[in-house]
Amino acid sequence: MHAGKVAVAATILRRGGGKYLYAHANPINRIDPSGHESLVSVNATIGIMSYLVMHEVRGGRAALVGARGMFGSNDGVDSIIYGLEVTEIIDEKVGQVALGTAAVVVGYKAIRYGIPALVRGGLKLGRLISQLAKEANGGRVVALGLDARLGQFADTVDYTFFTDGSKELAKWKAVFDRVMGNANNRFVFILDDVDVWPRVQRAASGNKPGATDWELLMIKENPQWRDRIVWTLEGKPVPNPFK
Amino acid sequence: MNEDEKVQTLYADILDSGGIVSVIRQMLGDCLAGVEINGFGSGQNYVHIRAGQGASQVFLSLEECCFLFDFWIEERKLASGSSANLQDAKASIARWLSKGEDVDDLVRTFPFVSRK
Repeated sequence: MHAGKVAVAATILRRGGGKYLYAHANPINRIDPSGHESLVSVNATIGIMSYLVMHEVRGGRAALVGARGMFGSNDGVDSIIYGLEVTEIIDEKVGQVALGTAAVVVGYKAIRYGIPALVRGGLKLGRLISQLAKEANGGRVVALGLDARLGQFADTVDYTFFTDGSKELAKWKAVFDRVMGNANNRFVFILDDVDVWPRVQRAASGNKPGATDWELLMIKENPQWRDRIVWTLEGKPVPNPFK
Repeated sequence: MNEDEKVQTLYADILDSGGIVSVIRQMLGDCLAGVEINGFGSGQNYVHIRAGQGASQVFLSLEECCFLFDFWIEERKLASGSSANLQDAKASIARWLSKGEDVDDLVRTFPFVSRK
């Protein structure tokens, strides 16, 4: 991942029936060419959708409708996870094209290729997510890392991943701050293909940091977050690299 | 058992020697010219090693005593390895950084290293 490729909000929709409902059920051929980095929210409490609609996410209902339309099945979408920006993204996409058309999802990354280490670690990661979801106590479990790895991670833990194609780091920072600011949220930082030291140095110097660079720097400088973050590398848990 | 307790249990010898940064400095500092060895905080859990265009990182697994390390050129990861023996990490990283960053050579020489 190159410097300067930055992230925006992303979300995951719970996948139903074992069928890939994104990218017109054709995830291999419909790949986001932008390759940007992003954040993925990978879990939520039961009923999060109604919670979002009622309490937090402006446009959440529209997002739900839009997501169902986009993925072509009510049954295939049983939770919408993450926040305002995602619903705005969905709303925007829904507003641009007719529901259910391929054009809606062409711009989204939807990688389903298995990475051996992640496949091997899939069961463990699934358990990890479940444990974190319990600890979250109404908060969310959010995965951080490089875009491609997040897509694979989502696939491994049976969630569908998609992300917006814009590259607004300032917007991303606001999202990240808000997500980190919720003390109930828990985080998985996927370190696969992440060179930690250079990224933190790049972010600290302001030399065109990407989203992951910036996230790492913020985590480094906010030790109060650390108990809420678990780190994985090739499917294995590793300790906090900043200690 | 929390993260710190796991690290203490699995890597007591590393911690007794000052953490992974300190240990890698002791192992590599004298045998590689121009090498930069860095870590964060107390340097307990993570180390980054760079020489020229090549670089490596070493992480600690929390599942078992196992070192996870990787091999980079110009911010591109080309290979990774794992071993319970830190000497394996040291030997492969030293070769990576001193022999011209040859992935084929690395994979051929060290069975615990695999191409990305």
